[in-house]
Amino acid sequence: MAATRLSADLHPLLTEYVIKKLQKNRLTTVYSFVKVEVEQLIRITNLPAESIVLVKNQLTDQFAGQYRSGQAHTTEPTVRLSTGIYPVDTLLQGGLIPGHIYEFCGESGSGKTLLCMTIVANVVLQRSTAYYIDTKCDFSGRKMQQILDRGQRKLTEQELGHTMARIKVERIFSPEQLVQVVEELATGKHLTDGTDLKLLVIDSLPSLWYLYQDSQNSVEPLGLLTKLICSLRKLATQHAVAIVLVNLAVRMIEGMAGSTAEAKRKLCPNGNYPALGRYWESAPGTRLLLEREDDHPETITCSVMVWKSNNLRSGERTIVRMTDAGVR
Amino acid sequence: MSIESAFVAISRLASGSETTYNLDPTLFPDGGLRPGELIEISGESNCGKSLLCHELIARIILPTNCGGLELGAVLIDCESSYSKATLLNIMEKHILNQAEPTLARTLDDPRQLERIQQAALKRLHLIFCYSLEQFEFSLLALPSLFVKHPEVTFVLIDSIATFYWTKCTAKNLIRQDTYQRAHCKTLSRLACKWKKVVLLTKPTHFASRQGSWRDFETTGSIAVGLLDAGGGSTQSSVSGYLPSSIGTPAVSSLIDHRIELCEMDNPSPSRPATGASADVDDQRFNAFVTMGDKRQYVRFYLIDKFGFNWLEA
Repeated sequence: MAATRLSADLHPLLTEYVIKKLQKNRLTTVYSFVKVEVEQLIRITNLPAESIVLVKNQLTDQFAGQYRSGQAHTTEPTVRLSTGIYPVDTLLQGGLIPGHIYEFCGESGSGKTLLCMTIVANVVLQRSTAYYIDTKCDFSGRKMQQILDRGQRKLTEQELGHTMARIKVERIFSPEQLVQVVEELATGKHLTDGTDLKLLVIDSLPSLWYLYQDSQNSVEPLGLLTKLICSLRKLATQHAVAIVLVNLAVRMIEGMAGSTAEAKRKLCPNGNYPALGRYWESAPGTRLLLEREDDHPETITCSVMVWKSNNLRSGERTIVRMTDAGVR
Repeated sequence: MSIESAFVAISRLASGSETTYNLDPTLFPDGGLRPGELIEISGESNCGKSLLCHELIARIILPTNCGGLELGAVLIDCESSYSKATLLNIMEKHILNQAEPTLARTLDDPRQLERIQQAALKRLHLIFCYSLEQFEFSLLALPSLFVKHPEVTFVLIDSIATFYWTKCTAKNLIRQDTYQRAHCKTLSRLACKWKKVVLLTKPTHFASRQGSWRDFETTGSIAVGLLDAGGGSTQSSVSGYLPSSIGTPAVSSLIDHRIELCEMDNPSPSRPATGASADVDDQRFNAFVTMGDKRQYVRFYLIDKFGFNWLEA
């Protein structure tokens, strides 16, 4: 995120003329302006000291992080977003917390997309809106309709239409585009058209970041991941949206050259670890591991386990079934 | 109290910073933290760094008749980890465990508990940062906050590493330890000038000798890192007892005290059965504390609904 440049619309006292003078002295960003001593600024801009101090204070207030007194800050909403799947709701102690970031991690084919679609179906049935960002073209309108149709209650054609309309699907194929879309959502522009957004699903992250697989350095992908998680956190907390991300669980390759004891990453019980690297490990608040179980030949079952969480106990597990009507 | 030489005693008295803050008797058993000091809390993901911040905040803001310092604190939250519900639980635990007898008698009334909590929360100031720019400006905004709220004595930052990859771009490469050092210098100056104590959290591997080559990986293979490629130290880690996050000397000199949190390997039996949470062993952790005078000691804890549960040695 580039530092904000000085411009005339920031403050009435910062006219074009003043800004040109600052630029001549190589002060082009708001931060550099605020850091410089008042005396030096007086010399450069010929503005009186009181004006400069006023502008500095007001700019600092505007650009600093959001301030809240401990007392005024409201507690997180206690009303959780039910996933519609009883075992998962129990595991999550009621459902998804609006404002929290979850990650579903698992090997290919472990049911992550189906789980996301089932949760989306339940959220829109409760009359809220859900955003589905699809990076692999896995989202199928027909499948979603099937899940909604087999739900609790039969929907009329009109109801079905309205319900499906509350699912906003967007296909995204580059990390930069994803970051841009999330940043836009974080500014709250969806509120202007009265959308009651409660859930954002991103399916999936590695498929976008694999574009960096062969690049020589990790600076760019990590920079984008930082931007992404910061915007997601802003969206989540400021607009009380629950966020679900989909990630892959990858296997450790044996005998990695130069891997010392410290460089090893924390493995989950079955020997996998989340893709996207060590930086991303601590990004989501709760990470759930999905594993396909091959015990029952007739039905496809998956185990869902809490890998790490701020507010759930790690290691808690449950079993769900993958059916045509979604996850049960 | 430790025995100090006459020279040290005289310089300490001369500097006028006699005030010490007894922040946490478990973590700092020999008393206090001095204004101007920087404490680093490091640990792997999910070891409880943010939770420890909540614990320390509770101890700072609670009144003295509940075992607190009755002082103000600022939390600069860069990771959206602040949870009011968690803080209320932790405060409840401290109030019930440490209330003085006269106060304890009144605690049957739940509104009394609430009153104490609400009064304490007035002493907490939160700043939420979602970008590097917001963070940098927030540091600049601290002095005016100190003036407005003089009872604020502690500044907690969670975490110092959050925006590193925003700062480090292809056009403007910067090492992790350089980045941390720059912030620590600013914080140290701020802390000394305004007589505050600063605590900051960071992931273990950040700015450590391990390097950042595993920070981004798409598969299990080695991604060619940019900075400090490979070069992990050969220090062996005995089930996580020994600290592995010692930064390069440049950063170390600015940090006065260090707390390293680590998960302990549990020799767990077969995989737990479905839904039987009784089979899940409680995860044990240790906190390895290194004080400024080179004293080191270990403390053990569990994490439960009420925060840190320190285990008796």
